[in-house]
Amino acid sequence: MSNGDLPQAQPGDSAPNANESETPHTEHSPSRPEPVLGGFTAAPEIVTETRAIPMGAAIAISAGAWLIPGLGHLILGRWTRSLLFALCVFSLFFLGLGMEGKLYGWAFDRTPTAQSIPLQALEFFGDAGVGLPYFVATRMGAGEGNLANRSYDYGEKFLWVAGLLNYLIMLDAFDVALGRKP
Amino acid sequence: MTLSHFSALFIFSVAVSTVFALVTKNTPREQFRYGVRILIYFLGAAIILGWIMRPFPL
Repeated sequence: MSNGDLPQAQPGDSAPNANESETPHTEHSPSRPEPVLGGFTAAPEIVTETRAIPMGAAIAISAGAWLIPGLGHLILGRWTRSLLFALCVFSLFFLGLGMEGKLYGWAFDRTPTAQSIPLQALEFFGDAGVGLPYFVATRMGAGEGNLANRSYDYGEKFLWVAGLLNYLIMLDAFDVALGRKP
Repeated sequence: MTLSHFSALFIFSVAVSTVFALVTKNTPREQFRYGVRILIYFLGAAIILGWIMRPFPL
């Protein structure tokens, strides 16, 4: 087919382009947001700069986020989130230690109750989620657990949840680093 | 250190709802609303379940 067979677009031609007809372009006035339900106006969209970084760096940032709670978001420049995450995780962790909760280790108890072993693996997984503070605390002999303390059970749960929350924070840092979320 | 059941519950709920809100929502307004909602759910559920369990013996 020669070019002469193709319809030539004329300067004054008002026929819509195929792409434009599929995605209609609507213009919004920045000074007057569109009213939504009940006369309320939609909040202006917050545009945050999301800059994707290489996968290796994102994994390294996630590792840092696991090692020290809040570090991942701090590296990514999310100061407020970093501080709040660190505050939540550290407060749960230290309150858990203060209530004499137990930090479980990888070396399982060699007790006759063999059923406790799989559960202890899960407890270790939860506790180790805090990262470096877990290893420092166990190295210092903290987290032995004192059943005589009335709050022992709460302390143990605080320690688990501090670690589990830090895993979530680590995954969030990974997503932010890859530019998947602001 | 010994915490009462409610104070332990409150501290736990604040920490968890803060992290959930920051992880799942993007704008500060959404995060605040979601965090407060989860916190109320936590506390409300604990209080209601506590009263439901009250007649049962230990």
